[in-house]
Parts: sequence; C-alpha cells; structure tokens
Amino acid sequence: MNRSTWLLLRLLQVIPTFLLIGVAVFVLARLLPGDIVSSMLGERASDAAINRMTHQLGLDRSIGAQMLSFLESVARGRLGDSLAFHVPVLKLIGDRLPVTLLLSGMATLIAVAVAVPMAFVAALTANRWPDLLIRSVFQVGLSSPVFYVGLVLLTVFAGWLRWFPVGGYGDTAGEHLYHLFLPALTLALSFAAVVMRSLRASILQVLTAEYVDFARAKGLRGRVVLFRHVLRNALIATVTLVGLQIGSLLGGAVITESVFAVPGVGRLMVDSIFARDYPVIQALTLVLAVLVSLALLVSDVVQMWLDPRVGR
Amino acid sequence: MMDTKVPVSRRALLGGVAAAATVSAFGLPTPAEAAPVLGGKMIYARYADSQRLDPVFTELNVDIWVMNNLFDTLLLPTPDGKGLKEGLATKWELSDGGKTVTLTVREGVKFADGTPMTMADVKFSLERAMNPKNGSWNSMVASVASVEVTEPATVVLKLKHPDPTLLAALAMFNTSVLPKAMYDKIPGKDDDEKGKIFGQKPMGTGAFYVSDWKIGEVMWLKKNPYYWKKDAAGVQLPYLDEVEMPVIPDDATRLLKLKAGEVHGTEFIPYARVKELQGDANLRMELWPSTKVTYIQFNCRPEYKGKPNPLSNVKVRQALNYAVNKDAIIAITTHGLGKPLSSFMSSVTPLHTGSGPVYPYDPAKAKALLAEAGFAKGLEITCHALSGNQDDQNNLTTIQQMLAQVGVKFTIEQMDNASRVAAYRKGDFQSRTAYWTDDIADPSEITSYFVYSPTVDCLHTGWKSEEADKLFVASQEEVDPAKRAAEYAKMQDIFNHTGPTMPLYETPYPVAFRKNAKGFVQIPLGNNYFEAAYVEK
Amino acid sequence: MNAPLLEVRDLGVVFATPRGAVHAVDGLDFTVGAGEVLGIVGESGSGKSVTLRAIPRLLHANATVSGQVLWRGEDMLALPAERLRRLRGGQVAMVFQEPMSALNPVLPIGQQIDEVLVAHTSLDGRARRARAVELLGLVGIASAAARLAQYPHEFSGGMRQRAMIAIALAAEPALLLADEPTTALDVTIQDQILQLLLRLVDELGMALVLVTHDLGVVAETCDRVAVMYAGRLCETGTVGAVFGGPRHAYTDALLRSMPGTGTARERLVPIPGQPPRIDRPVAGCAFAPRCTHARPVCGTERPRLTDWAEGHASACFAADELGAPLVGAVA
Repeated sequence: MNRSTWLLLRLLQVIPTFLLIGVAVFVLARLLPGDIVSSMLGERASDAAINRMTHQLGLDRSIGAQMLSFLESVARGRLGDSLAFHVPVLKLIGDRLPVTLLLSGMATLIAVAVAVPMAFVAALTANRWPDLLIRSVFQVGLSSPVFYVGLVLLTVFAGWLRWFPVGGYGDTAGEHLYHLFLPALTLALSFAAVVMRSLRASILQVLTAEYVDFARAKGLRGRVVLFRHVLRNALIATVTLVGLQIGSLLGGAVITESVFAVPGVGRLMVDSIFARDYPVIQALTLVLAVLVSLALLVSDVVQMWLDPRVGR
Repeated sequence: MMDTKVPVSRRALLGGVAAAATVSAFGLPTPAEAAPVLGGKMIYARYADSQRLDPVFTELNVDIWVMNNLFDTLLLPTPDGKGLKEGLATKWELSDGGKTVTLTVREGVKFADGTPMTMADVKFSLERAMNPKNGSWNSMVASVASVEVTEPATVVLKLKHPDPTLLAALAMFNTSVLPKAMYDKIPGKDDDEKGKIFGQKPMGTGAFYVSDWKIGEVMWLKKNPYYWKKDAAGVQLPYLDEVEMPVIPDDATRLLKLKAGEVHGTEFIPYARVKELQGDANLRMELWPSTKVTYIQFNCRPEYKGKPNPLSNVKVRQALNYAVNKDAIIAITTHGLGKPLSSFMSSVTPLHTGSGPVYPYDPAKAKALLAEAGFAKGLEITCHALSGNQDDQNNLTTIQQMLAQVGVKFTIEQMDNASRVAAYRKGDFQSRTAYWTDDIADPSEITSYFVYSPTVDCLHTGWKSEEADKLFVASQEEVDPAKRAAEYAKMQDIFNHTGPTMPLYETPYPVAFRKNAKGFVQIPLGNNYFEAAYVEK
Repeated sequence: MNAPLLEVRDLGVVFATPRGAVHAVDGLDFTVGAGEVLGIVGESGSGKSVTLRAIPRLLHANATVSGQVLWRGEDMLALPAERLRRLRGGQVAMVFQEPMSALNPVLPIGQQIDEVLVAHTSLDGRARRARAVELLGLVGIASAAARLAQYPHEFSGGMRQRAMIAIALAAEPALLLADEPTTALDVTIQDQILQLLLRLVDELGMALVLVTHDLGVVAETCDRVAVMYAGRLCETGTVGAVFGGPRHAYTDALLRSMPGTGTARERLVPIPGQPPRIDRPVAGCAFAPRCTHARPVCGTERPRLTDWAEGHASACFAADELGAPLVGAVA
C-alpha cells in the first residue's frame, strides 16, 4: 500500500469513531441523575411548569425515540438549541470554539518552544547539574494543579505587576493574543513538562543509536549530527505523544478558561454538564472528539512526513 | 364590605420613604453627596450571565436582577423593599371592597426604540403574565379576573376576590410592560417560543436597553434616550450612557479585575474578602440589606428510605435548633456579616415579626429534648449539600461538630446541583441546605412556599399545620392590614417553633465598587438599579 | 618498506560498568601499510570490534582508551576535536556491521552520501550529486540516480551494505576500517561484497582493516592477519606465514577446528571450554585454561609478543612446539 492509500484509510477511520462517541455521549448524558428541566427552572418551579417544559423539549419520550431524533438532526446538520440559553447550539459553539483553539494553539507553541531546547540541553548534559535543574523545574510544572498555577500567574503578573490584563479576551486580534498569553502559559507548563521528559528520553536513546556513531564516523560536524540525525529521529516518538496530549490540553482548558474568564468551549462544557443541557453536551462532545481526532491525525501525518518507514 | 375611594393599602404600604436609601442596620452610607456626572460607561462584572430576559418565563436571579433596568412595571418597589411607589402608574385606588383596582398611567412613555407605549401594551403584558400556561409566576396575579384599558391612560383590574398582595405583584418583574406590536411580529406558536426570541433582544421602557450581548461573555446596556424618569433635581435619567456587564465566574478573578481597575464594580464578594476590600483605599464595599435567608430544612415524614425518620418528631427538630450556636456559624461562615434570623423570613420582608434569634444556643436543653423524644442514645442524620459551595461546606462542618456534642451523627452528602434539585423535588432527602430570596415585596410568596402545605408540601418536607394553612388562606384575602399582620404573626409563631427548618442567618448583598463609581442601588429583592449610577473621572 | 599508514601501539580499552572495570582490549600492537589489507580475527568478545572503534575514537564516554594510534605519525588519540573530525570520514572511513542500524532510517541514501561530501570536499551541489551517482555505480548498484532518493528500508540487505561502503568511500579515504562487513549477509552476497572490497583496494590504492571471526574470509582476502583472544594480541604476520605455520597455540587450535585445513576425513578438533570473563584481569596467558600446549609458566606469566620471523610475531610460550604446517593448509 502506498502512502496516499494509508492516509485515506486513516481519514476514514475517524467516521466510525465519531458515531460511537455520539451514541455513547447521548446515552451517558441521559444517565446522569437529575434533569435539565428542574435544574433550569429551579427548585421552586411548579410541577405543572416542569411537566410542560419536559414535554416541550421532548424529554418525556423514550430514549430510543430521543436518540433517533438526535441522529436525524445531526444528519441534517441541525444540532438544536441550547436548553439553557435558547440559542442554536452551533452558534454557541461557533462563537467559542475559535477562542479555545487559539488558546490551545498558543499553549502548544509555547510548550514546544520551551520543551524542545530544554530536552536537548537536559539530554546532552545527562545527570549533570543542568539536566538535574531542568528536570526539577519541569517536575514542579508537572505536579502543580492547573488551577493553582493559573491563579498565581494571574495574581502576580496581572494583579500586582499589571504586565497583563486580568483575564478576558479582548476585541482585536492583537488583544486576543495579549489576553491569552497568561492562560496559554498556564496550560503550557504541564504540557511542556510531559513533552520535555519524553523528548529527553527519546534523545538519550537515539544518542546511543548506531547511525549516530556512523554519522560521527563520517566526520560530520557536531551540530549536523545533532539536528539532522538525532533530533529528527527523537522527534518521531514525541510527535505521537504531543498528539495524545492535545486531548488533555483541552481538559486543562476548562479550568484555565474559568480562572481567566476566557469565553471558550471548556467553560461551556462544564456549565452545560452541570445544567444538564443535553444538546450542548452532545454537540460539544462531538466537536471535541473531532478536534482530538484531527490532532491525532495531524500528528500521524507529521510522523509520516518525518519517518519514511510509516505508511509503507 | 368596605367601600372607600381612598386607597387604603397604598397608605399602609407606602411606609418607607421614596428616593434615597436610608442608613440601615448594615451601615449604609447615604448616596448622592456631590452632583452626579453625566455620560460615560460603567463596567460591572457579574458571576454568571443572564439566560432569558423574558419577564414572564424567566426563573433566574441573573435575569430578574437585571430586568428592572430594561422594563418598567406599573408600580415600583421602594428602595427599602417594604413599600411601593409610582412606576408607570401615577395613581391607583381600590374600590368595590378591594375587588377593583383602578390605575392611572403616566403619559408620554416611549419604548427604547421610540415607539410610544399604549394601553394595549399594558393590557397585553398583564394578560401574558396572567396566563396560567406561561412560566411560574402567574400565580402572583391569579386573583385578576380581567384587565380593561381605556385610552389614554386608564387600567381597570377586576379581581376574583380581594387580594392584599396584588399591588405588590404589580411591582414585580413579571408584570413588566412589553411592546405588543413588536412582540406580535415575532415568529412562534406560543408565548414561550416567542418569548425565547424576545428574551434575546428584549425591548422595554426602562432606563436602558440591551445593545449587544455575547452569550456567556458580556452584555452591553445602552441608555434609553426616551426614558420617562428624571431625578429629584429634574435631571434626565439614566446618568450613564452605557453599562458593560462582563461575566466572570471565578471569585478571585473578579476581585483581581476590580482591584486592577479593569471593572468599576462587582457582585458576590466572598465574605472572607470583605474586610480586605474595606481596607482598600481605592474601593468601597457596599452591604445592601437583602431578603436572603439561609437555613437547613428537615424532612418531616415518618419514614426516610424505609427506616423511621427521627426528624418527624418536633422535639428532635427543636433539639437540633438548640444544639447549634448560630452566632458561631455567622462568625465562621459570613465573617460576622450575617445576622441571626428572628423568623423564617428576613427582617426586611414586610410583616416580619420577631426579635432576637428564634432559638438561643442551649445544648443542655437540646439533650433534654432528645431524651424526651426517646433519643437519649443519639441518632444519625444525613444532609444534602451543594458540592463546591463554600458556604455549605462551612456551615455544615460547623453544625456537624456542634451536633456531635449532643450525640447526633450528622453526615454530609455532597451532590451536584441537578441531582440535588431532583432529590429535593421528590422529597427524597433527610435534611438539606437551602436559601431563599423574595421576588415580591410581600410575605405571601415565602409563606406559601414554607408554611402553606398545598403549595409544595412545605418545602417538600411533608410538614403540615392545619391551623397555619387556614390562617394563610384567610390572609390571602384580608385587606385590613392590621388583621393581616396578626395572621402573619401567628403563622410565623407556629412555623418558627414547630416547623421543619433550622434557620441560620440572613446576609446582605455584598457588592464592591471603585471609589469613583457611585449611585448603584440594590434593593432587598435583589434587583440591581443602574439608573442613578455614574462614574466620576 | 614504507612507513606504515597506521600504527597501533599498546592499545588498551577499559569500560566502566556497574560491575567494575572491563578490560576489553589490553596491550594491542599492529600496523597497516598503504594499500594493505589487514584482517583482525577472533571469537566474539575478543575485542576486535572495540579495537576498530577505538581507532577513530568512536567509543562512548564509558570507555577509557590508552596507548597510541599513530596515523601518518600523529597520535589520533591526542588530536584536538576539529582535526579528528576532518580525519574521520576523510582519510579514515569506517563501515559498520549491520547496515540497517548504521544508516539513518529517515534520510534518503543520497543525502547520507552528500553529507560526507559536504563535510570533506568543496564540491558544489551538482558536482556532489554526480559524485554520489558515481559512487553508487562504483559499488555496483544499478539505476544509481533513482536510488539516491530512496530510503534504506527500500534497499535489500546486500544493497544496503554496498550503499554503506559507497558512503564510506565518498571522500576517497586512505584507510577503510570494516567491522564484520559481511557477517549479517547471505553467503552468496558475502562473497560479492568481499570481491567488491578487494577490487576497491586495487583500484583506489586504499588500505583496509577487515575485522571478522571467519578465518576463511581472512585467508581469501587479507595480506596480513592479527589474531586476538580475550582482548589480547596472540599472533600477527602474513596470512601465508600465520596460517601456514601458526606459532600460537590458539591460532593452531583455531585452524584445527576448521574444515578445509586438515586432510579430508580427519576429525575436526573443537576448542574446549569458554573464553575467559574479561571483567577480571587475567594472570598469565588468557588462553592457558583451554590450551593443550599449556605449561606451568602460562598460568602465571603473561607471554610477550616476540618476533619469530620477519613480520611474523606471536605471544606464546609454546611457540617453538608449533609451526608445523597443517596438511592442506590454506596459503
């Protein structure tokens, strides 16, 4: 099979994944105790009001009927209205998704920009003081809860030093980047720690590979050996890891968006779950599943590009 | 049957002074020292976004507390929350033994888009609010049999029976006046569907209108150029051109923004940080009297989950009340900002009676009562708490320790909101934390919910007092204020001493502003008023 | 005789391991002249590969190298890094045993050749590409131009080895160090590769050090041979002299254990026992425990390398007992 066939098959793989996730989410959301109607209408609502709304929302039908109508609406591209906000789900998600994407993108960039050089330094000075220092610092990043780190950064850099605005999102593209820097940094910290550790181990492994010795035997410059031979091979394993980490990045985005008052989908997800806003929960989970799948796909493609043995 | 042209209830209810708020027990400053600044924008951060700005269908405080800036009602509550003053109506009188209410509406009122308000709008809005199919507040105006309007400015309400609560109901948000012509054009098969669309881009006669709204993120209010109200000096209201309301759910972040000057004011300051803000020279902490009461409620049914329920015995309930030191709880949870409850309703709710805490702290008496009830050896109770809620945490852990000292094992169960509400509505709890804020400046709402068993089984606890039920029914048609007050005094007596609750405290609304942001008013019902707010340079 | 190209004197390599110091190579001496083919032969663990890697200082940080490695009179072990780098791949090239691991799997072959040219020549892009094509042709790879863009996994085993040789030859080295270049290959391919190497030695006037465990290969291709055992040199000399008349008990035993060196129908005599553990310094001769000619002195004193004839030296106390040509000895 050649590479384009491999790529195509890889793309097709995502479809059954989405279907499964859609069904799973649908069922799980409805298994949660408590329902949206009484949650929305509040403790004081009359039984009559609750019954009326339940019927209106079609929530008194059987699960089977609800699932059918859900699948039908998805097929038609209409994901319904948010039960809490009374606006189309797609609009809600459409407004907020770019924010989270921007935040995650920035976090990934920062994490990679920090982790890759640090991994190199750590690997090349293995077990000496620079390595130990780097590993300790990153360990702190790995162990600190996102909430805490975010709050500390916010308080120090926005609250005291006023170098950054206190959360929010801003209005222009430039302002977006400015406002999102601190939350992106918060997210990047634990992400970078994971990438750094993995890349460092990868580099150490590659450094002992035969082809590195052979490259040296060829009399190549140290830098050439490092970048062309060591880095590219070491990155292969790490790229997969980065793709997998994107999933947990989106999870960290939930907390970060709350602390920094960033209007993204992370917060929307949590709010919808607490409010049992089924249409939003379903649609959002599907969207996030798409995103994670895409991230994995991209990392697979990058891996394919880096490693010609893949997709043979 | 009384026949008088003088509006009796108006005189009685118009107790409080209109205009500026007075110094209250919570130590409020009197506002409006210097002349207000006209124009500009105030930024007020909220902890959650509104969801549906439809006066009839909304349920949430996040909607209700903002809507008074967008809409007007025929009557308005006075700032101390106990009385009524002119709103869209300038005069009103009862006749026919209290079964007819005639109101005169002021002229020249326009909606924010410039359309003149007509009597047709008033009739339509009232009927929409009265429709039993619409929302949860129609019971407030259930006594209205018909609404007749005559141009240019008269409204006549014919009631099914005399209703002492009706005037207060005409000051309640759900009777806000909406534009009929605009509403009719909205697509939708019923008021709920139309209301959904209307609620996203509402239109009223209030001081502001919603100019833009990014759901979950920020709402912008712009000044209504046609607003009818002027201040005492004759200056057109509102002072501000714009109010921006960003949504920032995290307490710490909200306060950081306030301290950094990125917002002018914010709400729900955590009790633990009030002192800190009071010490900040750039900020001004404001504690507004509120109708908010916090309490624990007990399931009074004979059995719970198949086993005998000790809380069904009134002596047990009283014992638990004596066993808990409310002052200590107030100190711990509210950092001294709360006040012990002297009745199940707040002290600023009209017809409140009582002084001093309902139950003094007396662990010896608690033990004695438990022994009398047959629980000398102790007992076990579970309590549903809202997970993640700091106040619940603080209150319940303190109560847990206190109850342990009289031999009661108190287990705290954390639940998320939806599950807790579901259990509550089914009466499927042994005890739970709860709080209440009035929506109307009349005690009938809270009393029907707490005391009158046909409503919701008294807070879904299964408690019942035949005498209290009878008193309530009578009070709903009693137009003699003295008689009504006596009925309420008796109901409170019964409920407070034998009822299904452990009253904890009442607390003010804690909001904070930058020193140069003034004129904000929050009435005990919770409504935020920005019409007289302004920002000095 | 001209001054030797490479002269190794008293080479020692000690590895630091968690279990203690391991003496992989101990007191090794040999020389290689221009255009000469030297075979270094020994069992697995005899230290022959380590010796080869020690020469261009390719061992890792856990190895301590002592002694001298004189390249045209200069000690490579003492050279500053930049000069060493220029020698490596330029004048002294190396070919590894397993081409699948020695070639970088993610780079095309063409690039792996090009690197050497960039590092050691001043040819421009076009010239380098032409040279790469020429090199692949030189090692017998057809459709050279198309092959340049391919990756190692797209070549067969034999082709990969040829490619590796092409890479090694790129800068026209004077000495090629080949670490068991045919061990990982099919027997038929082995022969082809060996023939290729010999042809290159002839055509390019290159010297070749061939490390192998296969005496037959040595006999076929080498001018001179050095026999190693347990990190030590046993015997060195021309192939004819050493295989024709071994003067070390180990060499003798080796030859007897191989087919084709005795008369037909004569029993092969395997060498009993195991090579010694090299994590403990051995007193005396390392081979003594397995030696049929062992004398008491072999257990206590280490034999020194002594000349037996011109260019033929051995380190064995029993040298005088040996030396008889085996019937049908390869020569």
